[in-house]
Amino acid sequence: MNCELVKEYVSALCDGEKIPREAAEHIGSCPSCREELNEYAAIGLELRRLASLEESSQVARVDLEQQRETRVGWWQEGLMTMRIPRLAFGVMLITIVALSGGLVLVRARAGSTGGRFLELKYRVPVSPFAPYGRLGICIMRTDGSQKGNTCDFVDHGRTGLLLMNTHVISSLGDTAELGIRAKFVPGPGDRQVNYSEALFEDVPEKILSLLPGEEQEIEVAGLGKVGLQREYLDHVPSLAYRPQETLDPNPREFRIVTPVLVRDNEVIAKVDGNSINTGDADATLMLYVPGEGRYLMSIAPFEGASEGNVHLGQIAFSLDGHDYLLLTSTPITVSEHVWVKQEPEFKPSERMVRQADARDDRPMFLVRSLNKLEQQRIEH
Amino acid sequence: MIDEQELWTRICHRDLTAFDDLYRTHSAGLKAFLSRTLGSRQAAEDVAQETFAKIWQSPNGFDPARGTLRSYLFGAGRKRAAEWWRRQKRETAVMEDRGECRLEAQSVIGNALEKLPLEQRTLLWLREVEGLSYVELAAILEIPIGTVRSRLFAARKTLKEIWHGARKSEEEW
Repeated sequence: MNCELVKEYVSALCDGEKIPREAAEHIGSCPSCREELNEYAAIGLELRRLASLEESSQVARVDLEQQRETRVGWWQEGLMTMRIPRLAFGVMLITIVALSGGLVLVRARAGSTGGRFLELKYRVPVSPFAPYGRLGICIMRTDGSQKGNTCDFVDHGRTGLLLMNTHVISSLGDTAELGIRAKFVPGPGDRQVNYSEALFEDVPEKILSLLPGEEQEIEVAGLGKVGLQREYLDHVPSLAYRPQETLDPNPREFRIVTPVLVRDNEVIAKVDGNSINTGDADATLMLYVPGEGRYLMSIAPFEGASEGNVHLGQIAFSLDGHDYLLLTSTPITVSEHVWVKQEPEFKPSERMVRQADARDDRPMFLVRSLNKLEQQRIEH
Repeated sequence: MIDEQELWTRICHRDLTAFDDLYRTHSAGLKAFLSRTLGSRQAAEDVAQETFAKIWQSPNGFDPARGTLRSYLFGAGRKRAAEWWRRQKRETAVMEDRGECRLEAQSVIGNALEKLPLEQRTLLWLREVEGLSYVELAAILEIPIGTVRSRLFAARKTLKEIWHGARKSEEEW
């Protein structure tokens, strides 16, 4: 061995990598190679020192921003400091909020015309109820309309249910006055609850005046503090949980918003609400129609299904000699085809009743992976 | 210690807290790395945010068998940085304006590092500062482990020469 032959191993040794015994013996006995090793180590030390200085300066800059605007979150920080991919980051922000909000069942629907909207974010901190925390969104009208000015939801946690009932009392200037009743019901989180006003009879209403961006906390007996933050929206959201979202679905999304199913020019189902699946390669719409069973429309082919064509917010298909058209209020998927099947005998399973507030006497829909929907059928 | 596979699974299931963990744990390091790669703090901020945004939008590609979540993140950042350079080359006018947002000269070693070819700079930073293993570096850079070893040696050798030259110049002043 000589210095020329072991030069790469000096560098590797600096990295803590195993080197051949002969190389190690040479380095151990060669002052020149040992000097080289020390110099490489010094370079590493200097680089790490440089990195520490840079990370410290970044932290200091964030602190200054936080002093200027105490309620800036990390996502807003990103938005403020970004120049090029602002759009991309915006999409991310909304997706985060929206999909986290999918953890709860939110019944509030934005109205279809006019009015300003209030976006209320609620955050349940990390706790036995929500080991990873919870973040959700409610959207309510603030123009005095009684339709759409409330938001009720049931959050199924690990240790119980969080029930919240929120409504807009008044909205003047930047201040919105909200009435909130929240109740924690300990016990299994995976169970049926028939949502009604009666659930809150023993819960006093708390009145909160919230400014845009301001966060306040309410104490929920048995659960702890729940954070509430609000913003105004100046437009009608196309997706209830994604107030800033564009109409175009992301490549891995399957979106169904307020579907209407037409058969041979006759409307057989019309359902409010939205359901979105992100990421499953077999994302599937299940549309239950009383007396008709369920229709499955999947972006993946499956046994017994017929092919349908997708065009923006429409899916056209034929089954048993009938022509169907599913209409939704936003584009559904980037796929051009879906596979459709009707299961006339299907009725909502106990789990659907429990988790999705389904009933066998009214139409309902949801988007899930086909695998999960098949499981529902088996359970049933 | 959070299990990376679990964290990633939660991110794939749209768990905000998990994504927040990922962001808080790695954003500063990623930005520092990108600052060195791109030579601009602002561009590093942009590319880092873009990297996180893309991961959130389409969380795929992480394979625990190939490396850690951090190495996956830095690999994704490196690819976005390469795209950024390609955009910059197309937009010559923007390149001319980069003078004012170039990273400030913070130290002799920092200046010396900037003189390294991009690939060597990237490799050395990920190894020395982020502590990525040879296996992780090989996965990120899509090169054999033997090549990682030889390129790291070349990077150190070059940096040492530049650094020594710069220090000598400073002493002469």
